[in-house]
Amino acid sequence: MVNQATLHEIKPLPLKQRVKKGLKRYFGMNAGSVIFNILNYILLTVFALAMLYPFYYVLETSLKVHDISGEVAVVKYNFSAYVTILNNDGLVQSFLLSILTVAASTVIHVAFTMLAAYPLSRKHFRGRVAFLLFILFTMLFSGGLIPYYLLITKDLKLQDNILVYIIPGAVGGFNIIIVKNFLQTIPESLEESAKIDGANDLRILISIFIPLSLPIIATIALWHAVGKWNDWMTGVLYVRDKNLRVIQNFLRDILITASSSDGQGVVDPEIMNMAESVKMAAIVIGTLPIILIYPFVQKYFVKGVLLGSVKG
Amino acid sequence: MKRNGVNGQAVSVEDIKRQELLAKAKKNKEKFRIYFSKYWLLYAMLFPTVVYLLIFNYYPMLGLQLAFKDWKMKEGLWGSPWATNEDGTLFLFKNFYVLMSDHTFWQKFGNTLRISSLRLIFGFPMPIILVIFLNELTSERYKKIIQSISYLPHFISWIIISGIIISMTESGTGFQNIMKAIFGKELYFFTDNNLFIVMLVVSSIWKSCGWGTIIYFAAITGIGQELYEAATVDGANRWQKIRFITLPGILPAITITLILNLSNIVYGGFDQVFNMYNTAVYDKGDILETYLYRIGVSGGEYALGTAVGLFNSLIALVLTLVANYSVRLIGGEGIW
Repeated sequence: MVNQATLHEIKPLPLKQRVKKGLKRYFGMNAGSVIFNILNYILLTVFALAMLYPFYYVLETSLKVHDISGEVAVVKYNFSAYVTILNNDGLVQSFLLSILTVAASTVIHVAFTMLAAYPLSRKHFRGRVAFLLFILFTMLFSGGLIPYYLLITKDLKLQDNILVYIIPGAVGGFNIIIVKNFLQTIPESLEESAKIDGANDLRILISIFIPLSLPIIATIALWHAVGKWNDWMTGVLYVRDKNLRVIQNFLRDILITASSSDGQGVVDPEIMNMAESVKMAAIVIGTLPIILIYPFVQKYFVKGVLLGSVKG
Repeated sequence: MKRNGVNGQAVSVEDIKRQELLAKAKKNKEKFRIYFSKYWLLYAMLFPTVVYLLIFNYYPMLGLQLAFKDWKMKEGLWGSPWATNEDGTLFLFKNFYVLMSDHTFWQKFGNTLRISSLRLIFGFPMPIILVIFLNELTSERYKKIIQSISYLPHFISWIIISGIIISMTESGTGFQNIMKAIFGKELYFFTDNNLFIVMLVVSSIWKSCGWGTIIYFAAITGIGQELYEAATVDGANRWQKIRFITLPGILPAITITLILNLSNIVYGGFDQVFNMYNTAVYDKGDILETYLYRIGVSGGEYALGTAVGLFNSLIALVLTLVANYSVRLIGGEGIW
């Protein structure tokens, strides 16, 4: 039984509480949460813009042309810097060389890694622990820069040789362990039934295990390829021949060596006088392969990091 | 008498044992021969990698002997004599002695520690803060977009990043105009020692803070939605949920990352510094690895260079082992 009189006596809520109630009805949350959400969205948007700004700067500068033919300098946007840089033999040559060496090195990397990971993933494999320790030790300790440098230059004599981009660094313990862990998750019954049908281990690896491990192969191949694409150290250490520069070393020459005061290395005047827009256009072209494949392969990269944190 | 008897017995028992062991070894050998004839292909598959690692990883380890030798160009790595004093007496640690008594070495060592600890202090919390804010976003889609954007710089080489910064901070650019408005003057990051370090830290945060969130995101997905739901029912507010659910959930990941980062403190980031530094910022910007490159590779001082490298990698190895041990000690899972 509700008393009519008391119902009429209820005063309307104060404004603050009405707003609070309205927000709760509208967003399903209280005022503090709404404000936090708005601030959070703003904050993260600003963060994302800050992340993107350098990319925007490169793109904008590469398209910007200062036209000083008239009385007043006018800023125009066109692709003339791209035309200039694409006519530069150095860029085209180093770009193609990069693609070639990255592809070759990645093929070697995947082949060696799969071949090594398969025996190590077999439980019955004799000497498994010893081989695993043999590989693990290379991940913990290394001879360091100078002994490696002497190996490449004095023993293998790979200076100014295209193979120096392909063979050194093609095999690494880390990915072998990752693939080994993955292969261990494939049911053994598959292997056994193939054995009964008379298949040998190589056959089993190629026709059963490899098709089942395509995601992990994509992961290690992409990891390796991006690492190689961004590798500049090899070129700096072992290559003097200008015709054997890969893209990162070409970019290093025009971006860094040209503007450093101590001038490490000889720079030709053409590069010294290269316009800012042309340099930025070179960056765009040098980064393009990564930016283009990035949306499609991002999940593989993330997967790679997570696999790396799984214990063997 | 008793003793002799025991001894006599012992001898005979030992003999029997030895024979048993020999037989066992022979049997094992035979077993392995059978195993090998059945599975030789597995060994053949592993063979290329073993050879590769022997050449490219183990052989350079033998090259470390150079740290204890006097490098002679003509003799090469194996022919060079062990390090000696000027009077001809053997002094294996000469190269280390030369380094340690050189104050530039300690200056570079200090620079390395300064740069990498600043990077740790300012760079380490960033992914954690970022992941907490991202986790609070209500729209999954927007979260994905921001994540994708934040990963991107990780895939750009330091050459390109350095090139962009050089270009961006040139006199008269929009960036320098902003600096002028804030600080009253243009800032030259490549000639001022302190500003150079600021730039190193900021640019490495830009490159790696997004990528660093991945491991924390994995930890957050492991937390379980029912905890948050239960907390909501109990009337917990957002901050309380962050404080009592999210943070404890990612704490193990934080500890492991922190300890691994600590063990890398002797590495000052060669990739980054080498592509950014110049003679103007050697005072504070030159790190051990760049110093090693200059004296070792450019200067041809192979023995000294090897000693610097060995010094660095031994410290790193010890720190890694200590780090792994301490992770286990506090109850986490180590890296191996």
